[in-house]
Amino acid sequence: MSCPDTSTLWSLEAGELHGDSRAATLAHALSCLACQSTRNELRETLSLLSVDARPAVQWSRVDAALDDVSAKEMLRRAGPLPLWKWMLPAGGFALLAAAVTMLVHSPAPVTTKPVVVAEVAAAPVMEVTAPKPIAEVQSLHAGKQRLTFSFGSGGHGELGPHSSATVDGSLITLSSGTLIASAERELVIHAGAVSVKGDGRVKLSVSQSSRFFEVAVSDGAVLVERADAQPVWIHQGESVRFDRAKGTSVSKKADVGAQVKQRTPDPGVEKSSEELFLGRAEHAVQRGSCGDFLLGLETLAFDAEEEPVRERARIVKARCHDARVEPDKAGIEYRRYLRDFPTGNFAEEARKAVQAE
Amino acid sequence: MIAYAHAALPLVEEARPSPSPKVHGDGRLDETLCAQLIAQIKAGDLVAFDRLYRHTREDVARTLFHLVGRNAEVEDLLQDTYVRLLKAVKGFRGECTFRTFLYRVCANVALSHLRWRRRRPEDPCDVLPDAECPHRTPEQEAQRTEAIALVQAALEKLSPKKRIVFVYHQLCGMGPEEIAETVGTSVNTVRSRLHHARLEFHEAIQRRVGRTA
Repeated sequence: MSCPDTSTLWSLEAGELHGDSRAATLAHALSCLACQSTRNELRETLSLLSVDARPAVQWSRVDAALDDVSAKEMLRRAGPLPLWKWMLPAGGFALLAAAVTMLVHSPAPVTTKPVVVAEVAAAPVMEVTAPKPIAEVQSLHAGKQRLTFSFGSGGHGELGPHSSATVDGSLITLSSGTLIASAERELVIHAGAVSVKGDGRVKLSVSQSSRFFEVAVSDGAVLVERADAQPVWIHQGESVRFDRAKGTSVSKKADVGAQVKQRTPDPGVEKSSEELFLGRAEHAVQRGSCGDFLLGLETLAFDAEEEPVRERARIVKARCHDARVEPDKAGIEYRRYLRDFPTGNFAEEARKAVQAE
Repeated sequence: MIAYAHAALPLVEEARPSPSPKVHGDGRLDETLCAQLIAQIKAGDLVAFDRLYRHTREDVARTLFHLVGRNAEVEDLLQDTYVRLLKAVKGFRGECTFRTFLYRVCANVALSHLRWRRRRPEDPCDVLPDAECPHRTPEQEAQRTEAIALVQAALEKLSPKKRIVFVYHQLCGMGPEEIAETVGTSVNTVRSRLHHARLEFHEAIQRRVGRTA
């Protein structure tokens, strides 16, 4: 028998030969000095491959990066704006609270001013997503969903949730909430005491709440006029914000174009919804029936504009898992809380929970 | 003279008479658990993905290290691997084992990286892993470091495709059929690559230790 090649001897050493071929190869190798030498070398090579080559990985770094990526991916899968998931319980809670109030108190008219609905109670409600051409003066009110419409000559608009406006050709009067508009020619937006005028191609967002009024431009330029202030030009990538309480312009900053593209919601409306939702979720945690709130809590913990909301959502989510006797999931949430808010209001609670694992 | 054609090499994993010194990844993945976690991930459970990641990450890190050979690159590739895995997992229907699916993602990530790296100047400073085990003596640690350097230097001599096949067979304990399914090629091609990879690897090691001219 001639000497087998190195690969065959490798197979012999690795225990991959069987039956006759193994017996023949082994018989030759035992009687051949050259093959014995090769086998010795192969044993050395194979022993090198058995060395534990565990790389030094800073898992905390990888964990953190993957946390963010996976959360984004999951939110992306859940849909662009899964507000209904948590607006439903929030809305239910609001209805319940209203019903209880009506039962407990006399049927006198409610004196508190509802945020949006009262202003446009007479307006026709259009819960549509496809662009609607506006041929004449028409009042629009967006419910829980955004409302898109076309206006003037080739203009397109989108009202944010719970926003309302009146459209007359190229003139839009924003009563409340958020409007994103793009126009190729003339565009005038009235919002309270503020007027926004564009002439030519322009894309912008206009938001107003009880506290402030804001214009952000992502394309073109607009002139923002206010009775008690100098007119100001806002160009592409800039925004201007008026504080209603102070009555003055408080900022004009660059590089905010993205917020127009990202559908800036009305902070006034959103904030109250978030607080309502978080309060409801905390109540559900105490009752141990918070499962329906988990996705909404993750959305808020990841995506809420204000840090206190994100912080509170994260800790409520951790408590919810605790209440559901899901220690693994709770541990992950507590660790995420400590990673994002190491000196937060609930850091001590999170630390104790992690240590107790 | 007996012809030892590489295509006819009996590389089938049936009843190995002796335990191979390789196989660090074999049997570590709980397929049932992985299947459950994948179902949960498909339903949008972020925590399930976290569990899957923690269950598999050591294997993946070690495999990636063998495939690319540089410690500093492993962290980035780990992220890349799990991001790809998360995106690909919704298309996983259980036609193959999860391990095959996972190693397919690793192979794709490593292959892209190795091809990219071949076009860039080599940085010799980041070859060795620096994970130290407190139970080893300094001499043992030195021997281990030297062995890893030898292996990585020899692996560097292999083409990316041969390297993947070699690593998956020698270090991950995968059979030619599973590797073929993982890398999307025929079993004979896998055997051929493995045959040549073994010869080249062994020759590179012998050159390194000064036994061959």
